[in-house]
Amino acid sequence: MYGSIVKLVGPIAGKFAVSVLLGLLITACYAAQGVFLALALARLILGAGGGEATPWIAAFAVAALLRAGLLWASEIASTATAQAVKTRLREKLLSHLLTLGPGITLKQQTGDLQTTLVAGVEALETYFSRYLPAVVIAIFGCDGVLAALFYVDWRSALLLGLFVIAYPAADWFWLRWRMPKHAGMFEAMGAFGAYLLDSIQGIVTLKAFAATQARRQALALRAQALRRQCMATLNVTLVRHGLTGLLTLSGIAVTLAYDSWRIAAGELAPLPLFMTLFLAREAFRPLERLEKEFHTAWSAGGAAEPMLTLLAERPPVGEPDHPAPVPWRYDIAFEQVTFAYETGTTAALSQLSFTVAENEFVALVGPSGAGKSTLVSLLLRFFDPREGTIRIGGTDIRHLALHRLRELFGVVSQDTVLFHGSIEDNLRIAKPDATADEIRAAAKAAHIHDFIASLPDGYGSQIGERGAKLSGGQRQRLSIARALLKNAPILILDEATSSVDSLTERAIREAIEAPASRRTTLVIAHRLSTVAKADRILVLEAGNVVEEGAHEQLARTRGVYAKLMAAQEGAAA
Amino acid sequence: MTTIASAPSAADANESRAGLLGLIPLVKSRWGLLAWTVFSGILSQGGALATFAVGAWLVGRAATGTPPAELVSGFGILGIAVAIAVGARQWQAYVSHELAFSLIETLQVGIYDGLERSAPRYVLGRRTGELASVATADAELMEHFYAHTLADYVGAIIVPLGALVVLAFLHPLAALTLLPFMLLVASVPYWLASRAGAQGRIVMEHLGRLNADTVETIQSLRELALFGRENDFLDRLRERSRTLAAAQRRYGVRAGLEHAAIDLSVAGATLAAAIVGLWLLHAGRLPLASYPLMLVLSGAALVPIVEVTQTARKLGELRAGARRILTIFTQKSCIRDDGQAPIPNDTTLSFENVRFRYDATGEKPILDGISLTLPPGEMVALVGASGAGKSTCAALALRFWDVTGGAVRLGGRDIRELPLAALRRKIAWVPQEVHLFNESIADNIRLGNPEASLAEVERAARLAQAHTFIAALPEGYDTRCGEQGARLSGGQRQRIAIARALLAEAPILMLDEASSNLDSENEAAFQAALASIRGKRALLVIAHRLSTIKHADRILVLEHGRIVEQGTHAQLLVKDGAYTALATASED
Repeated sequence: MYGSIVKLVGPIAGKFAVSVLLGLLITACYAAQGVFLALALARLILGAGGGEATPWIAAFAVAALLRAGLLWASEIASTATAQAVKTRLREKLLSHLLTLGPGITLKQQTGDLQTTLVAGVEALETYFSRYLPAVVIAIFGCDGVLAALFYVDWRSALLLGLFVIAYPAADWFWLRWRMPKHAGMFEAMGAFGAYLLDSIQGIVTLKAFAATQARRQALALRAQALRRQCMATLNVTLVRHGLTGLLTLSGIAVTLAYDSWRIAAGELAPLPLFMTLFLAREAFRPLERLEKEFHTAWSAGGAAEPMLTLLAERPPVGEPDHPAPVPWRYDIAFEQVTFAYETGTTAALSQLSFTVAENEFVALVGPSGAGKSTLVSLLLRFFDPREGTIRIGGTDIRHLALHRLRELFGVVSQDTVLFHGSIEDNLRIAKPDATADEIRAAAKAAHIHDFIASLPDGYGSQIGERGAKLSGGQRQRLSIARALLKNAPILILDEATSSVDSLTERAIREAIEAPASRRTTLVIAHRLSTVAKADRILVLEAGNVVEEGAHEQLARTRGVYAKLMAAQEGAAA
Repeated sequence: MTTIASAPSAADANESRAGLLGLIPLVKSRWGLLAWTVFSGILSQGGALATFAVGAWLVGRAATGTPPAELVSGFGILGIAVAIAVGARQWQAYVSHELAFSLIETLQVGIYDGLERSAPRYVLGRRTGELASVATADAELMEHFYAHTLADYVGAIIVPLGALVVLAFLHPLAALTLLPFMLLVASVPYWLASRAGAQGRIVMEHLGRLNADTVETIQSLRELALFGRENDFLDRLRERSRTLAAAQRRYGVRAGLEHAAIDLSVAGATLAAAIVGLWLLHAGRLPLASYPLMLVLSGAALVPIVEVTQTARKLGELRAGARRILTIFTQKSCIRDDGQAPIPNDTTLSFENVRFRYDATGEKPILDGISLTLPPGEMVALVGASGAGKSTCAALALRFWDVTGGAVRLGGRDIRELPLAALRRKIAWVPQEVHLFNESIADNIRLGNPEASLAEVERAARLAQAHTFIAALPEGYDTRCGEQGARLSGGQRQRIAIARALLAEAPILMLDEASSNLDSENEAAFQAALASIRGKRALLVIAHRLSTIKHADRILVLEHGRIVEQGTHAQLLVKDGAYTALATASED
């Protein structure tokens, strides 16, 4: 697991080495500081005057100054490591995500992707910039301090060393045995938090149903249960907390007592005694730092896995090696197309064939799950068919460069994504070099210009929280304006006017259908009024075209289409 | 988009200025635990310092020729110091967690209570749902503060003072030497505070922007592919990442400086103690045996202060959180629930010249003299542009707010005279934005009638045309709703809400229709559900779709808080007014 975490970020060895080196130098300074004080004290005890101790005290001052500088550098170094790690992780994940394309959101929920790319990156950063250096510093730093002590008195070093080793050993032992219980506690707390959040978010509903009191009681009971459950496990888990404290303090105390006894009995010189006094504390310092950073390792372990999974995903569609020229006519042909989202599942489309002539207006209708949206996803090459071919102007779309293919389409879909930024930015995304006049013309055609003009900042109004709050219909109209601005030869409207009121819808339809802007148009819609105007209607059911024809024709046949329309018309009659 | 949750709250204006200490009365009930937490914390810090001090004292005595036998009592004292430190540490860990968990009960449930009183009013400029996550995070911050940080702060004052007293016993000059360093260490974060604050804000701002852009990129993968803008976005993210890195570097440089300055001050204290001690030794005013103690104590006394300076930076954040929590705790209820009158048998709902505005001053009224009657079994549709006041009518009938003029009556009785819970049991509500709790579908339907049997739940679901799709789910009625549960479409959620409203067995049903269109299956199911309810309940429908409106017994057209037209579909069409324009547009 941790090996693959290291592979994730690639070469940061240089920055990492600098962090570790600085950390070790800091530990060495702490130790040197202790040694110099011990030397000064030893001189004094041996009867020397203050004058002989002074150089050592001066050396102490130098060590302290040096260490301050090193600490500063170390903070800067760990920031630099953090930056390198984050920049590299983000770059890697985001560019991979963009190659995967929109298909990935079928496999992973956008919420999970967000966690991976935002919180996950942060979690891994501290792992590299704080935790890993702390591990190395703990290993070498503790050894170094003990070695210095060993040099003057091996007995003290050995005794202290026992406690120093017991510290991580106790931690390790605790981890193996108790961490699951501890993790269970965090889960229980998380569950309580989620329940509370859910209750508050639904509070208006609770009020309406006079259920607030019952919910409050449930909440209080859960809080009590949480407390009881957590306190019961804490009794056990807190032992670790006490144990590490016990090991540090008793380690220092026992060694000092042992050395004091020996010097009083005449078995020890003053220098080792004073070195023990000042170094014992330093021997534990890197371990305490490691313990502080420990939880970052824990969260990093959880963060790395989804990243690795994401990076292991292969893009569902590939670029052709030798792209074919862009077609010059825009008819569409589906030839025996079969597609399933995952192998083994039922096909979303099976042996689907149909054609749309250039400049034809075709409507797709059918119950949900019939394959209407899948068909659009295939046409845009978010996925490739398992079998069969899709052609535009006679060219297999797999032979076109992806961005060339997608340039051919203007798409307005049911859920309109607007970007953070001004209204103009959102329109311009379709055509970065559009003139102000072009933007206005598109907005007018989509019947959103008057609304935009009525905003205080007009086209410069920011969309979102602090800016213009747009209704579903307004968002859809912006999206239509965007598609019109793109002025692509093929237009796909996927429930494009579902939130627009009927008057506006009709006006927009007129704009789209104006002879000057006549183009190949594919519409998915439920409203009878939208569908009825189509040149041809394809009725899809279970991944296949079951009926085909103009509205009057289909309405007469009393088939699937007639049933669908009747359901919409007369259910409440 | 019409939602009933709007309007600012006057309570926000007198937002508390008390800050962190303002919360103390809220944790009054946990006073004992709080005291023990702080006390054990001080004892634990003091015990650790005492261990080092006693060790140094012992070393000093041993090195200056004390015979071994006389050291034994010293060993005993050392052992006691260790025992106190470790015991207190363990005790503190336990008692502080107990405090933390009882604060969860007090604070989190208190937030629920406060928001329950205020909903659906805006609090702190946010809707309840949006505020929920902020408030619960704040509560966690507070728990952490009281359970863990507060003891450290008190310890950082008391323990160094104790060390000063011991030093003063050795020699007053020893204490005087340490004092300026204590002040220095404690004040370092304050010299750099404004820079730290500004840099911190800049970093958070850049980070927020980068994260927002990342989220946006994920959410708009489809659009990016369609418009071929992947590389532009990647470039923008790179640029954001670079700006953030630069800001974080500046932050790191300053944080490193602060770190170094504090460390240097601590070393300075030991150095000063060494020099002053030497001089005292030379002058014969300090026994050599006490010199190690003076050195060790001067360094270690600063440790508790250093520990809290690391957290001092977060105090601003804590204060802001405390203020938000206090604001929520002091929310007043929008209405008074002191009605005692019995619920009338007649369940005709009527509005009599109802006026309503959120704010007493200035603002335009939302409702400006609305009168309507909804007798049992009838279906009335409210139509009109968004902002006309349709949803407000529902909110007033449910007494989320009280009218500011006129009256809403149930069976002739002013609803302000009725007990609130009883009133709400008479009116079931299907909101436009349906909230399903993260529980089973069955429990969601049971919300207004928790004792209902599964058979009753199913019957309501059948009436609401929801049974077929629920039964088709792998876990049926046990399927959990919410984020981890089934992904239900808007139409399906709406029908579950209708089933919920039906099971509540209220004689009046208010239905706020979703403004966006449903697909034809869902549309048909919704209309079928409506047809099956009609006549059985009084229906007040805030309608957007002609297919719904057409079937109402009466249609009221609202404009700017007034009823401008009313009648049946046919009657209104003849009038050729506001309604006709709307209807003809939908007809073709």
